[in-house]
This record gives sequence, structure tokens and C-alpha cells, in this order.
Amino acid sequence: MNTRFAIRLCSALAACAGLLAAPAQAAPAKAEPVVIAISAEFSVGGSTAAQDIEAGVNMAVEEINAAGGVLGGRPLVVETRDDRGVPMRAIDNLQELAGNPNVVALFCGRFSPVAIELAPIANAQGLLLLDPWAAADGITQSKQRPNYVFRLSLTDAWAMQKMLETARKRGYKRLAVYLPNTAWGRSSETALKTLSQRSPGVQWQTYWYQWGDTDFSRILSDLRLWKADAVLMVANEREGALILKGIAAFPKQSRPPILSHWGIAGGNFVALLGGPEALAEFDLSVVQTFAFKGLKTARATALARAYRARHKAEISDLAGQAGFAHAYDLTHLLAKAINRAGSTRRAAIRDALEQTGRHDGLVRRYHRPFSPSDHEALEPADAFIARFDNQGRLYRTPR
Amino acid sequence: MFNIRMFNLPLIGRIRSALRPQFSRTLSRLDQLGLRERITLTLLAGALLIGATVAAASFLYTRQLILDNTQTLLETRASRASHALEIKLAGTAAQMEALANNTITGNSLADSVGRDLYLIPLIRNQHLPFSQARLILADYQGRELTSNNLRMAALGKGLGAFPAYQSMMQTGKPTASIDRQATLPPLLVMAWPVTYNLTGNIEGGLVLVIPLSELIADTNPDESLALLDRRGVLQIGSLGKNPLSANVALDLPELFKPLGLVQVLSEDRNVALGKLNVLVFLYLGFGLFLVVVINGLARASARRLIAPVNAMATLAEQIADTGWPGPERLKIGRRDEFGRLSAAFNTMIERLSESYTRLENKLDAGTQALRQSENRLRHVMNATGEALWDWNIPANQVTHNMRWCQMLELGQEFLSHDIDGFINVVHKDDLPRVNEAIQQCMKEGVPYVIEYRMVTSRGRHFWVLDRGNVVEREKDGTPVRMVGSMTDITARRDAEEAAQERTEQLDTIFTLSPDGFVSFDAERRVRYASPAFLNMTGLASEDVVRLTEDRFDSLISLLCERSMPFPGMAMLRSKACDQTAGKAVKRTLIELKPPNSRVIEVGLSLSRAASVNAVMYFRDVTQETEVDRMKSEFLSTAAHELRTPMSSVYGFAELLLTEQFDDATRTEITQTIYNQAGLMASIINELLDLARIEARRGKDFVRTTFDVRELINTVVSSYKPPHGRPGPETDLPATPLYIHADHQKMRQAISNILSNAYKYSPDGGRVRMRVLSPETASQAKEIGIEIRDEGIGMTPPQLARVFERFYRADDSGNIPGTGLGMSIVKEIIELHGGHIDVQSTFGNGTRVTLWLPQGKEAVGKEELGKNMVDSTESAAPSP
Repeated sequence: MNTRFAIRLCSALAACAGLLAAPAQAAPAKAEPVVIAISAEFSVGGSTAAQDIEAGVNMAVEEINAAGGVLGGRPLVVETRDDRGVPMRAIDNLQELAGNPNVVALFCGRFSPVAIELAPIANAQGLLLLDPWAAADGITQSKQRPNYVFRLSLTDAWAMQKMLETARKRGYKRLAVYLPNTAWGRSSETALKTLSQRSPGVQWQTYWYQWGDTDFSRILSDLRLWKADAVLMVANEREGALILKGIAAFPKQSRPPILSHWGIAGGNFVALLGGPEALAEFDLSVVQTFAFKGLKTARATALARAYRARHKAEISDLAGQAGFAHAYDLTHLLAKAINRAGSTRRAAIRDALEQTGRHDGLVRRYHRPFSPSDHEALEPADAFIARFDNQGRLYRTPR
Repeated sequence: MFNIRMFNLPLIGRIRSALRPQFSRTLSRLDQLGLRERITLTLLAGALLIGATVAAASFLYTRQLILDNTQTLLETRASRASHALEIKLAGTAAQMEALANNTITGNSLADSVGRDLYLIPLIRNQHLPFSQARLILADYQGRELTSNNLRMAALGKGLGAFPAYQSMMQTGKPTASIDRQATLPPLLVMAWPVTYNLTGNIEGGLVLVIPLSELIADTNPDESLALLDRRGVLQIGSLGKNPLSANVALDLPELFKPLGLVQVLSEDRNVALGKLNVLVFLYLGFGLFLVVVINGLARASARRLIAPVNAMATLAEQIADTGWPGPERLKIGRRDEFGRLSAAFNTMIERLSESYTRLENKLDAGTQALRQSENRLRHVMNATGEALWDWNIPANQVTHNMRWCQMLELGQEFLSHDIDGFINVVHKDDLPRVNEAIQQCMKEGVPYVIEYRMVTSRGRHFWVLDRGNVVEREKDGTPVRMVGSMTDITARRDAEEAAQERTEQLDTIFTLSPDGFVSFDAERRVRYASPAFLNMTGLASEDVVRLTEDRFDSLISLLCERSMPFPGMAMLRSKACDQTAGKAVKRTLIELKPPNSRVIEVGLSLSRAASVNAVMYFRDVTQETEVDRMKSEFLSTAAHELRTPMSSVYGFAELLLTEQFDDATRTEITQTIYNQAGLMASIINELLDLARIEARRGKDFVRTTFDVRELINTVVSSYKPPHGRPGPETDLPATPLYIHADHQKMRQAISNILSNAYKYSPDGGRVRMRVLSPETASQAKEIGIEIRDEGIGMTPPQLARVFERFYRADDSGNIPGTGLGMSIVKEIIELHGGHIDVQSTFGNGTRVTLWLPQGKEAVGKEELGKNMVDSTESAAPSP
């Protein structure tokens, strides 16, 4: 114990010395900034996820820069690119950013189809791809070594597990599962198939829709034909709102409860639905990993204050609170890894990320966020069920 | 039908003038044809003209009919073909639009991993009416995401490079364009926008690529389909060379509108008109048959028409042949114009027969009288001594006397003959002259006298004097009879020719002789002065000829210088007598005054001939005299130049022999002797050099081609300037300049001039050398070597004598030298074909420029080096 303390003391002293020395060294020549890039769906109407992720990254970067930046005084800067939610545009952005040696990592947006196509390219280019939102399981499960993709977010498998678990708890027997015909939908389906073996009491039927579909009358009529107890919905805010509006057409007593993947929390879902009062028409539960409402940690309080001061808004009003929080924590982990690597060499940072130790984050306390075999910072237990309050804000339901 | 003004009028004129002789030849050939042939030809030509007109008109009408018919058919078929194509393209466009708007297509843009499962079956199940159509889904930059098949060769560029794709991405509307790449057949590229469901943006496109050739695939074998764009440029298919064609603007959906496609269905005009060829062959066959038939009919009718005229012509020809109207008469079988003509012809023959008999009786009486008269004349002619002739011109009869036959050694049968008999005995060379004289006499009526040669029957030539005149003429002046006589003058002509030949020989001798001659006749007057004499004295022949001896004497005395006067004719005569008597006589020289300044030896020879009393000769001895003078002058100068150092040597040597001196003085005296002997040696050496150069006239020069710069460098490096003076400054061009010369001699020449430059600038000053290349020099093709000093220079009189031997500008004796250097330089340079330019200002220095012809530049460096070695070896014997 004493020995360990002594080592800690030494390292703390050394860190202090480093902190003291760093500005002195950086002062004469202006230090070259270290770039964190974000390629996300900034211009997709109704979606705020990209902006929420950017806010989270920025908030973390401000804190890190205020504490002296990284690598002994180099400031972090954020560069953003719009990929419009189109995989090919995101790939083009990645390839462009990979050419800039100062770019150490790229944050992707919320869309799994985009992230899942970026992952192999990021590995091929040797550029860190940090995923604060997209949930498709396959994103981090590349066979390529070394794997440059790290996620601090929910996965479809955990989401499905949580939803199935909830369904079983609530006694739903027949589930109608709505899936988009994309990587995200298929990832969810795979998870469902795997998990349903463990929940033998629950029957389910999948209904596929195209991304961007506007007419869900067919799958909704099937819902009644199949006599589902509940709807298990994998959708983004736009399709989600349309499906719910379709369900709203049913008589109130025959409206099934809805267990939704968290895609609907990525934008103006509440507004699309017609305002917070429209939420009262449904029994809607959403899988989540983070909600500010009711969180009382010191860091959360401090952040809420800082956010208020900066954005003149309440942090708990954010639609994509989870994305904000994930990006925030992931940025801090990245900064630690950069310092640990001692350079902006991407391979070194990647290795350092895998070696990063305990970190007190906003979402949780990470004991060892990543390891060579596990690039998921969260774990299944981090998923919980949330509901919208009467102001359209998500809150964690009591267990 | 056509406008003649369209053609080039001068060309028409040329063609017309070329054809005119041809046409007139044909006309004259037609004139020679008989009446029967002419009638046949006229009938035949008429029939052919009418036949050809009818045939041509019906041919043209039929041809137009076929073309109109084909055109109508073509238009119908074109309309059908274009409808088919319109339906195909419109259907395809609608199908593609539906596919592009399908949400599955939009969804697939976000689903690269899974889309192949549903998109490929969807795309491949699009049954398109074009077998080679390639259907491609592309991303926002035109990169291919998936396609229906891979049958078509890979497109050479990304779809994003196609104008249709770019335009579609910009406007968001379906577009179509025609794309031509070097490696691919022309393609119709159509693109439809694909909207990304999530955002509503256009994030990709559906592209359909069809080879243009598929649009014109189904045609009949005789026809060809083609597509033109809105500018009428051919995009696919062919139009043929001389086609019948039907154009149909295609009515296609909106996206094809900018292309403005026009379909052209065409058929080779020759194929359409192929059927007409059979008709043409039929026309030709029938036409030939008609020509044969009409020809037969025309011949038969012409023969019948012309029969009486033929009979008349045969009888007339018979009378013309015999000259006597016989008993035959024409048969009169018809009562038409030919019958009347035959009757009149018979009457005419009767009248002709009567008058012929009367004329014959009268002629017999006249002939008898004439024969008697001729006999009388012949007797008279034989009696004269001269050969006589009498030419009856209309009868072409020449009559002679016996003397003519004797002269020409002919028999009596030649007493009378035609004019050819005369022409045969005149010498061929004289015949034109004789003919001309006779013709002139006939024309002007003046008797002629002419001498010419004749040839006897044995081939002997002899001269005659022929006199003749016209003695009888017709009323209109036409000569009827000429008479004349001939005399043999051969002996006289021979004597004249001998005299003429001798005179010409003498003339030639006197004319060509370089010595002048003047001859005097018995009255002692100048009879002849030769051209050489006139040339020497500048006198004209008429100034001298016919002068008496005294006046000639004073004329020559006036021309002579007082120093060498003319001694007078009397003195010359006395010398001539002495010479004849065998005494030694000193030759007489005179000198003519300027401008003829010449020294001339004169002499006189007496003659006993009747026509020539004396001949005086004049020989030009100027050259000999001048050479003698120069030799003695040179000898005296050379001796004088040698005598000065010689007396020093002699004097000092005597001193040494007779007196005792201390060592220093003796050394000084010996030094003086040595110096003076050295000067003598160099005078003698240079004299020998000069003599050798003059004697050999450059034949011993070893000429090589070398760079002038190298020459100058060699001279400068080996030249030792006087003590305390810097070497000459040189200014040489950058590029080599070649001359063809003797290196050794050139070195000698330049050294001499350099030496003078230093010697004649005793107070110092720069000595500069430079080369004047042809570019800088006024003299083209010559290279100048200029040596310049800043010394004492020369006055103009000194400059004028600078090349004189032993001439030295310095007469003080302070500057050493022989006075031969510049002469040697001049000889060397002039024997090289060059010249020297010396410019000098008294007190300001001298500039000498040696001008040499430029050598060939082609000589390489190695060859140059080799030549240098050669020249050194062969020049070794030179001192």
C-alpha cells in the first residue's frame, strides 16, 4: 500500500511538474493544435444528434484546453464535416481528413449504416473512429487487426436484450418488431434471434420497412392481424413518429404499448409527433443509456451549469442527451490516450486507448474502458428504460 | 436547262477554238461525200434525233416515277421505325423513372452491406427492350454501386464524368446525352436522380447506358438507319453517298428533348434505280435495230433518187478522159427535172464535137510554118563563136547552137531540151544566184550579166560569163521568150583567184605581227602601215598612208622624246645600205613621248620590187630596256647597302691589325665588327630569301589550313620584344578563322611587321594585334591580321615608298634594319593571293593589315594538327 502510494505520489508530482513545465515550454512558439474531427449528419432535417455530439465534444475540449491541452500544451480543436447521413459522403470525408496528420480521431454520427461502412475504411487508413452513438453491433467487431474503432454507446444487442427483458417483465407475449431495411435493422434482427432463444415465452414477428418510407399502413394493418401485445420498434425519429401516428389512429384501448430502440431520441421526435401532449396517447418506453434528469453527480451539475452559461439553455432539454454524454466522455478518454501515447501518432493513441485505466466520466465510472479484445466502453447493464415526461424530456424510470 | 454563264467563259473559248479545226475538218469531209451518202446521212440523223429525244424523255420520266415511289415508301417505313423507337425509349424512360423513385432504390444508398440482396434482383429484373443496355446505380459522385450486368466493356471513366450525370446531379432532373469515347462505341447515357429517403436530397443516380447502335439495329438490308442530333450532326449509322432519305424528328420524353434526335432512314439511290437499268438495255437494243433498218431504207431511196445524175457524171468523165465527145448519149427515161437535164446535156455534146473538128484543121497549118522558121535560126546560132541559147518559156523549150554542146562536152541531141536540162549543168552552189538573176531580168526587163560555174558531161567545172534578156512578152507583160550567150572565162578566173590568195596571206602576216611595218612605193610614199605600227604610235591609217617620205620623217620625229630622237629616213637608208653591204650596224632606238611612252627599235629594208621601194620596221623593246635599268639600279643599291657595313668591318679590322688596344676597346671594336658583319649577313640572307621567293613564285610554299588565332599565338609566344618592352597585346575572335597558307612564311611575315612595330616606336607605346574577321571587315571572304603601333609613323612620301627594296623610313641609322623586310612581307602575302594595307600618320604610329583569303572552315582540329607537323617537316630546309 505504501509502495503504491509512493509511486502515485511520484507520478502525481511528475504530472504537476509536467503541467508546470508545459506552458513554459509552449510559450515561446505557438503549439500546433491537435485536431478531433466529426463527420456526422449535420444537415439532416429534424435530426439534432450531430449537433448534440458536437456539443459534447466541444464541452470536453474546452475543459481539456482550459487545463493546458494535450501533449504538454497543444490545444485540441474540433473540425466538422457534414455527411448528410450518406455512407459514401462519410467515407469521402474520412479519406480527406485522414490526409491531415494533425487529425487524431474521427467521431461518427448516429446512423449505423454510415458507421458500419466507415469502420473498415478507418481501419484501412489507420485513423481512430470513435462512435458515440451508432448502435449496430458489427461496427466495432471488425476482423481487421489492429482495430481502430472504439465505441462508447449502446449496441443493438444490449438494446434488444433490454427491450426483450422489459417485454417479458411486463408480460408481453406477442411482439411485432419493426425494422428498417438497413445494417441497423439487420443488426437488431440478429440480436433478437440470438436473444429470443433465452426468452422462450415471447413470440415475435418482424416487419421490414424502407428507410425513408412514408406509408406504414401495411405493416400497421398486419399488426392488428397478428394481434400483437406490443410493438418493438427500431426506427429513427421520422419513421418512428409516422408509425406512432399510425398507431394513434387505433382506438385508445387497442393501441399496443411501444418499446422503442433509442433512434427516436436523436432529433425532434416530440415535435414531429405533435408536441409533448401527444405523448400522453401512448405507452412509450425508450431504451437509453443516459439522462440528465434526476442525475445528481457533481460532474453532471457542473456540466449543466457550464452548458447553461454557454448555450443559454437547459442541458436536460437536449434531445440527444446520450449522444452528448457519450461524446463528452469519449473526448476525455481520447485526450488521456493522446497524453499517454506522448505523440499524435495514431497507432500509438490507439494502443494507449486500449491501455487507458480508470476514468470518472459523466455517464459512469469506467474501470478500464477499452481492452484489446473489447472496444465497447459501456456494458449491457448500462442500458435502461426511459420515458418522456410531460415536457418531452427523457427520464430514467425507476427500476 | 443550264445557264452558259455558269461556266468559265475563257475556258469555253479555248474549247471552241480547239474544236473549230476538228469541226471544219468534219464539214470538209462531209463536202467530199456523194449526194447519195449525204441523203442517207440526213435521213439517218433525223431518225436518230427524233428517236433519241423520245427515248431520253421517257427514260427521265420513268426515273422520276421510280424515285418518287421509293421516297414515299421510305417515308412510310421511316415513320414506322421512328414510332417503334419512340415507344421503346419512352417505355424505358418511364420504367427507369419508376425504379429511381422506388424507396428501395433510395434505401440502398444507405445500405451498402445489405443492398445487394434486394437491389441486384430488382435491377436485373428490369426487362429492357435493349439487349446491351447497362443499368447502373451510382453514388453522389457517380461511382458505381451496382449494375445489371457486366457485358459491356468497363466504361473508361466514372459515371460522374458523363455530362448527363453531372447535369442530372445539378438540376435534379432526368437527363440524357450522347457520349463519345475513343475506346467505346457511341453511347446514349441517361441518368435519373435517386433521392435519399432520410434527407430528401439527391444522393445518387440511376444510369442507363445504351450503345447508340442498338437504336438503329432493325432495318431492311437495302436501307440504312441513322440518328442526327439537333445540329444535324450524324451520331450513329450511315447516310450513304447518294441516298434517298426520310427524316423524322423523334417525339421523345422530356429528358431526350435537348438532344433533338432526328431519325434518318435512307436507301442508296443506285439500288432504287437498279430496275431502271433493264429498261435502258431494252431501249438501247431497240434503238440499234431501228438504226440498222433506217439506214437500209435511207440507202435504197437515195440510190433511186440519184441514178440519172450518176449516168450524166459517168458520160462527162468519159469525155474528159478521151478529150473527144464520142457517139454515146444519155437515155432519157423520165419527164421530171432530171429528164430535162439529160436532154440539154446531149445537145451540149453535139455542139462540142463540131467546134473541136474546126479547131484541129487550123492548128495543122500553123505548125508547118513554125518548123521552117526554127530550122533557119539553128543555122545562124551554130555559126557564132559563143554558146547561144533561146528559151521558149511557155513551151518549156531551150534551143542552143553547137558551141554550147562543145563547151559542155555534150552530143547533138542536146541542141534542144527543156529548162531542167539547163538547170542540171549549172553548178549547184551557183544555181540560186543564176535563178535570181533570171527572175529579176524577167521581172524588170533589164538584161543580166552573170558569171557562174557549169559542169560538163565529164564532171569538169568551168566558169562562164552569161548575158541574157527577155525579148518577147505577152500583152500583160508575162515573158514568153529569153535569149542570151555564154563565154568560157575559166582561165581569167583562175588568175584572179591566185592573186587574191597571196594578198590575203600577206595581210594576215602583217596584221598578226607584233612588230610594226610601213612600206613605201616607188614614189617613196607610204603605201601601207601595219596595225601593230598604228597601235604603237597611236596614229590612224589615213594619217600615214600616201604621205611622202619627208613628211613621214617629220611626223615620227614629232612623236619621239628628245632623249632618244628619230635619226631620220636618210640615216636609216644609209644604215640599210651598210647592212646590205654586210657591215655591222648598231641598232637604232627611239623613245615615243607619252602617252605611248615606249622604247622602239627601228630599221629599214630596201627592196627592188617594182611596187615596194622600202619596208620600215618598228620593234617594241620597252620591257627589255626596263628590266636592264632595274637590274643595274638594284645592283648599285645592294652594293651600296653592303658597302657601308663592309667599310666598317674593313676599317675596324685594319685598326685591330695595326694598333694595340686595351681589352675593353678591343672588345668594343670586335663587337662593332661582329654587329656590322651580322647586318651584312642578314642583308644577304634576306636578299637570298627574296630571290628565292621571287624565283619560285610560291611553288615551294607548303600550304595548310590553320586557325589564324593559333598562328598569332605562335608568333607572339616566340617573339622576343626589345628589352624592357611588353609583348604585343592581342585581341582574337572567339571562334576559329581558317586560312590556307604556308605557316612558316606567314610567321616570317608577321614577325617582320612586329619587329618594325617595335623598332619604329623607340619611345615605347603599345603594340596591338587583332584579327579582322569577315563579319567585321569590309572585305568579304578575307581575313585581316592587323598590327598597330604608337610609334613615329611615316609621312605620305615615306608611306608611298614603304615596299621599295632597301628603302628605310629612318635615315638616321639609329634604327637597325636592312630595308628588305616589307618587300619580303609583300611578296609572301601577294603570293598567297592577299594584299597589304598600310596606314600611317607621322608621329602617331602605323597600322599594317595583312589581308588573306579565308580558308575552308571544314578542316577539323586533328587534321589541322597533322598538317602542322607536315608543314614543319617540309619547311625544314628553310633557314
